[in-house]
Amino acid sequence: MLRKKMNNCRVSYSKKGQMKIQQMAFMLVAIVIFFSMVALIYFSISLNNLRYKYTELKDSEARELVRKLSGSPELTFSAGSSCSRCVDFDKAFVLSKNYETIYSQLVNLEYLSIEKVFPPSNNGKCSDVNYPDCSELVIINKTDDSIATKTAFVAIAWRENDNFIFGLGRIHASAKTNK
Amino acid sequence: MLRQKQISEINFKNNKGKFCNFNMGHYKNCRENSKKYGERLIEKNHYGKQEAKININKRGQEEMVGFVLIMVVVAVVFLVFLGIFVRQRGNVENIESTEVAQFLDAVVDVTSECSLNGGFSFLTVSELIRKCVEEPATICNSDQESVCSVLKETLYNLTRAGWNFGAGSVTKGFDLVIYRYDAARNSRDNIYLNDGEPFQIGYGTCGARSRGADKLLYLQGTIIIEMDLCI
Repeated sequence: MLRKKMNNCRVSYSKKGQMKIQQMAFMLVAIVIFFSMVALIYFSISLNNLRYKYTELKDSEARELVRKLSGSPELTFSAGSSCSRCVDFDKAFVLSKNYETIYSQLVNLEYLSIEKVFPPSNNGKCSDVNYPDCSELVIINKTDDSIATKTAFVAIAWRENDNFIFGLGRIHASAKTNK
Repeated sequence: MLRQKQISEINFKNNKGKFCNFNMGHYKNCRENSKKYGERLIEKNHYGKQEAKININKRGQEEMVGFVLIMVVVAVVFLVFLGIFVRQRGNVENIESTEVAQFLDAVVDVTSECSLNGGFSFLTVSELIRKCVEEPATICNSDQESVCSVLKETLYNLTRAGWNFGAGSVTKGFDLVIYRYDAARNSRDNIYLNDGEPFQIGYGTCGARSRGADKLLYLQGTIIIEMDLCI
């Protein structure tokens, strides 16, 4: 009788121990899940920042590459020593007429244009009629679709009444995509 | 523990020496046996079982409440840290911008409307800055304005032409300052216009976040053009 009673007690306490172990296990699982979620949030924020910085760097790199175009001998201003970093708008205009024969062989670009930002002009695309009072000079355009371009600010120079005028422009370029 | 023992005893007494405990799964037998011994004992036995159930549930509830409290405290601490982290990041953020650097590089070469030789040639922005720093009283004979005023106007027009500012645009405004930097004293001295105002141009409303760049010019000492685009 007494033994049975003792057995009863022992079994009862074992159950309680199991319960405690189960509780602890659940608690541990919950804590692990909680801290996993915290870590997940932290890493997602960090990763997002990293992605943003990566995009910024790629963007800067693309702008610098576009800017480099202004330093190419076909575009750079060499008529005077006052602005070695400027784009020669006159040269670019001549080039735009002959780009299919000359420039397209050298540069692997889908689109290249120079936009005159300042002084502003409302005369649209440059042509023999309105040059140099025009706002956009398209040098290369091999596509009819609208394409995303990379842009960089440059100083542009052109001759007007025996003087060189320096304005502010933007180079827009888009690389050829492999299809 | 004591409570559990009491309940075991109650069960034991109820079954008149027979082994019977609800924990062992014999409660049904116990109850059936107890029925044989009268109504009073059944009630007592049943009461014992109820007590035991409530006892276990209460303990579980207490532990659950404890666990929830711990989780809430940890969550609150985590949220406070997250809030501090986000606030620190959001206070002032000035990103170095290649676009602004390229703009400033190009801007200094642009020809202004200021001529000092009767319209034969016109000063560039960098030449205007030099004049504004060294001889601020110089007057452009093309429009009879001081070189600093023409510089201010030219830089304002160039910036407005270079970017779209407004509600629908990414850039909301800009701040442009020109100052002299003394590397030996590590100090900045403002460049003043004729009216005594420091040289500063701005447009729109600037918040905490901006993209900007500096341009160094070596004239009489180091002149810095600092520009921030408000985003």
